[in-house]
Amino acid sequence: MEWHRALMVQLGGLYGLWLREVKRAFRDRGQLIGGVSRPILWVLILGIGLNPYFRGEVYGAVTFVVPFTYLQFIFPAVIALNIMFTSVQSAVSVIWDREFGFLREVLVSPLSRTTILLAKVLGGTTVAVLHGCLVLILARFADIPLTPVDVLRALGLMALLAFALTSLGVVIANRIGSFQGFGVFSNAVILPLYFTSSSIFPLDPALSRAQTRVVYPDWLVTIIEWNPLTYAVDALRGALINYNQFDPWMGITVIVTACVVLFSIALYDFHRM
Amino acid sequence: MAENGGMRDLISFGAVLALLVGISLLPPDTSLREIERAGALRACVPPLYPPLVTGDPDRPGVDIELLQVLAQRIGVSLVINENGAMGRDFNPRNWGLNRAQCQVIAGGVVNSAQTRSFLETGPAYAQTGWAVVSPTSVESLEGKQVGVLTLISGLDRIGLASFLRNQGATARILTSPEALADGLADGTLDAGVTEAMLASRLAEEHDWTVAWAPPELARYNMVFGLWKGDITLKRVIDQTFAELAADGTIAAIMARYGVRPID
Amino acid sequence: MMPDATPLASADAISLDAISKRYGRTLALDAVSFAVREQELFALLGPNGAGKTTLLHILSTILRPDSGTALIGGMDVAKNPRAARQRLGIVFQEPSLDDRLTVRENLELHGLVFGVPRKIRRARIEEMLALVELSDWAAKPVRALSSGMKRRLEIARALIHDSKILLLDEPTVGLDAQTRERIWAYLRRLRTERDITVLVTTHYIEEVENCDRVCIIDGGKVLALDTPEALKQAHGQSLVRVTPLTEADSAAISAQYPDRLTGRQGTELTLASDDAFIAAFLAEFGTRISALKVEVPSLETVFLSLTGRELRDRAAGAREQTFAFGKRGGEHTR
Repeated sequence: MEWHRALMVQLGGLYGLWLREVKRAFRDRGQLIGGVSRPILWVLILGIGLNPYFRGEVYGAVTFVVPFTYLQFIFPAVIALNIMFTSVQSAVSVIWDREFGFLREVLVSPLSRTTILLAKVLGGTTVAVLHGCLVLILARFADIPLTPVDVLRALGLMALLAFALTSLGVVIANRIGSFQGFGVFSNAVILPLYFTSSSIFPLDPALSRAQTRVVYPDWLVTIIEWNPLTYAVDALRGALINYNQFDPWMGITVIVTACVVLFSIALYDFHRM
Repeated sequence: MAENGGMRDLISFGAVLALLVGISLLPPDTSLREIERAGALRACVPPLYPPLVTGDPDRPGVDIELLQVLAQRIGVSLVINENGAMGRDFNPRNWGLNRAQCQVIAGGVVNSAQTRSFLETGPAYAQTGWAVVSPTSVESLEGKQVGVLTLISGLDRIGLASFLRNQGATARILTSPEALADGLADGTLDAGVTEAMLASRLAEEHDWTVAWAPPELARYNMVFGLWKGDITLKRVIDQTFAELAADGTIAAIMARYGVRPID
Repeated sequence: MMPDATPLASADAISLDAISKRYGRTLALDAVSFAVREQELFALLGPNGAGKTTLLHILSTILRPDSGTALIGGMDVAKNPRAARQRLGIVFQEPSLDDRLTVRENLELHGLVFGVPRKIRRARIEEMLALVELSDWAAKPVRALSSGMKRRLEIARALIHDSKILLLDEPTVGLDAQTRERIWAYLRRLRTERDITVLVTTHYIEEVENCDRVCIIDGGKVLALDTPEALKQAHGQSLVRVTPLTEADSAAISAQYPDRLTGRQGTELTLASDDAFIAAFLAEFGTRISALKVEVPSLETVFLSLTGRELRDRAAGAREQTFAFGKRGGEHTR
């Protein structure tokens, strides 16, 4: 029963560290305010602002024929945005744990490094999914009818996405020496990924060949197609507004692959540290 | 500073929740307000689509009556705008409509991917599709003489034709309900195929049996079309329809036109 | 407390054998060997940069020594780090508490992480909070605590699990005299109440007087290891401070004892002394001085005679800059 007892210690520690992450996030006013203000600004202001310019018919002329409104189109992307900010923010706290000694306290515990990292990533994932849910509350506002099955599918995708992004945050955090603020992350990682993920405009809104094909410059299309987040956002759109720009399996494949690869890298770094 | 960490967590989470729920109750657009300001709900309908639109001022049709009740509930008058292109096919893009003409599109809008790509859809209130009528119920159409009455319905005629051909049935195109009635009465036809709501009314009049055509032929929900982004109007319509369905108004209107749910 | 007041157990709680550690070209530890007996209050005294923290990090399994073996309760820290950690309670030099959690939540977390069963955990948290007199603060967030309270909380935390050996790295640094005395009082109480071995590093000389044994370390080498009394005997120096009546008397004393003269402050002269010297001095100069003070040997003098230098201070590095950024309330941080 020795291994059983050892497992219980690891699980207890996992729970303790996970709980810490979640509690900390709730007590971080800045993070909470960000989690609320982003959906409000993106859905309420940008969504409503651009909604009239995006509908099938503008002043009598048929432009794009799409099965969604702009508000509905941007909604899943705002969920991804909120998850991305929160995940990376949680992960970046690795730097503070390292610099302020908390990590040392955990490293001298009987917990394995895998457990410690997993707790960190799962904690970040939980908080990020909760922040994603803050956006989901606005579903009625964006006129997205949600069945319990839709919500479950979306939550599953959100959790996987959050796991991958938290791992990514830990990988980046482990590779930088000193830290001068979160602004670097937000401007260098999060926003570029977000804007090039076909989040705020469809790559090709044409549903049939008869429609006018909107062609963006090749370089932009290439960037978008190479951005893994594009497929994650696409998968979320599939779950929430039943619209996919790409093969519906592409999204889930990309997210799961990212989870495995990024967590493995984070684990490798963490063991080497 | 609050004494208890857990309590404080709950309070801040509750505040966030309340804020977001509050925001989700804000009106996202002006569609309903515009209708109320103009005092009129404008609807585009085809000139004729029995029994949804009949052109008869006394019995104007199911959709017209539903729209009248709807306008009454909102507290505005109903303005009907006839559109000749509607009813000829199911693709709303070919109807040449725009927002300036009407806020609601009725009389033959089916809930299909094609419709949804162009219009927002209200709640379904009836089903359409091909239905089979006959004096006595028929097991299959194999080798039967079948009268096909299409009128202006935008249902898939090519699909029906190939289905009947596969069944080995002989199809005869008819141009009026009377021709169908005569054919069934004198035995030159074994059965008739037509649009479901019309079929249901004819069956009621002539005491025929009525059944859905086999599931290979698609069935659609009849809906009202709205412009995308008119969420406040859509909410009022959804809510009003739920009330009308609950108090039996929809069923009563349907019954007046002899439309009964099939099966 | 006299060293012989506590019975010395036979087994060694900690034993170090030729531990060396090199950072680049700096030899932080140079073949350090010593043993800490069970239930001993053991002090590691040395200036900043002497290698104390490095040694503690090796004991706490964070660092691996380049060579040598370190045993905790007979267990090799390099080969069996997890078992060693289970026995250790560690208080690091920098606070490693979570500022956003409450006092009790920090202790709970530690209990969970060390796999302390719920019932024992609950009971021990209350017991330890009472010991360090923080029971009234249990529900407060840690950021509301003073630095002295944080230290006390960290000591309590290190004892939530079944730690047999408590390692403290400069536990009193940056604290006021009263708080420092209180922390030492806890440590002394602990040793008697919980059968615990305590290893403390410090660079405050006056603090180690009450320890069972003191190890003086500098430049990565052990310079001396014994009870405070024995150290004073071996390396200490008595002093007399005399104030001659006139300038001429002062010159005469200086001329008489050039070897013993160690300092001059205003009119006061400081002379190295021993019992025989005082008698001889008084016989000769007793009528020519206005005041005479005798100073018995202290660890202060022991330390100076062994290391021969002042305490050094470090400059702020990149780590401290990040730390300062956080302190300034850097964005989205703690």
